[in-house]
Amino acid sequence: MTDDERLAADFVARRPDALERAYRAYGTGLYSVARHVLGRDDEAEDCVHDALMRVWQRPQAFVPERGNLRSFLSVCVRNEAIGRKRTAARRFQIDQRVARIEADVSYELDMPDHVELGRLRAALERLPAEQRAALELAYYRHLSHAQIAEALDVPLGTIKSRLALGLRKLQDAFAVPARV
Amino acid sequence: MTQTHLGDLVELYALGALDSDEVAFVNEHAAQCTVCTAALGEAERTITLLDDETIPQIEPPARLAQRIAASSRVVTPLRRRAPAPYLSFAALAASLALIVGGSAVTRDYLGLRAGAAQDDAALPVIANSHFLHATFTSKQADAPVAKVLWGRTTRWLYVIVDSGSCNCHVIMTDAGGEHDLGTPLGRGATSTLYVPNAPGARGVELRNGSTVLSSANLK
Repeated sequence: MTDDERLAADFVARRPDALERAYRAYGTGLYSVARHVLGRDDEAEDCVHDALMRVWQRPQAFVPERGNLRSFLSVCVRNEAIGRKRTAARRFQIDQRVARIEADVSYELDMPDHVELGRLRAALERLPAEQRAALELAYYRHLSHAQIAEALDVPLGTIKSRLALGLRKLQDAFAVPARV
Repeated sequence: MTQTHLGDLVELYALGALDSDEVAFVNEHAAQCTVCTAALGEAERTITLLDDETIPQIEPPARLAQRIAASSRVVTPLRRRAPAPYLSFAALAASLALIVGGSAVTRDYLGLRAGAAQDDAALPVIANSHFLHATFTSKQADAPVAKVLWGRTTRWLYVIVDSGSCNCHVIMTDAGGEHDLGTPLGRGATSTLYVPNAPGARGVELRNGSTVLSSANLK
């Protein structure tokens, strides 16, 4: 059993120190995701803390069938961060304006130069243009499906399908064995 | 939503493209469906791969580990479908006890929770907040021991004075100057004052007339 597998098992069993160990193992990645979405250190810190506490409050939140504890926690933090970002946008009543502005932004990827992007770029470029556009607005611009539908002037159901199909194709393209 | 499985919601969840109520629905469904749980795991793994390739790694501040360690010890599991605050009141009590180290102020504060109208208003807010706290610095020899708690983002204030008959006034300072918030209400051996909204507060003082008894900075 690997360290990650042992940690996942302890998390499922809710051993008292499992959350702390999970943070020690994955904290940098979790914080980086929150910081990337929110853009501020203090908000990222609160986001990671709150997301982990919400998970820890739900005993059935992570089960062995979920597979990968790190990915599970990372997406929880991501959803928390995106939710906070949207709430802030609503608070200032600029949500719709942001969506329209974002829709006018070029779909070129906005990613750091130092990372290795070959495989990702290739997988994205193989996607149909409409799936890629929807996926990039969701992943890079953090828009909800409703915002994407409005921004692209496409029915909501169509956007949901494009997002799901696009991500499944990326999933197939990566086609990596499950990590626990 | 009565569908058998989550369908496209799996990928939308992993992408962060769902609203909060839809996220709650996904979580609720996943707790009962191993098929969708496995599908969610696959989608989450793909998003993590994207993150690994696109997001620069940033070291979190060391204090975050301490916060998580402290909170994980007092957060209690939710019962299914039970609307619960972020921290239970029991957990809040435990947190406060940790913060002020079991002082007389803490004991009295915890003892007077029920019943007082302002505490009824204050406790749900505190329980659902991240808050900071500070001990008042005495300026006079007879100044009572006192603490102030305040929300990190929402800026409520909660002043606890270790005296059941504090004749002092709480003075708040902000960019607009000084504001007399009134006298803490005595209950038993302590007095408390809850201010639901003090957005620009920079500091608080306890004053008896024009004499400053003690003060605390809200940093």
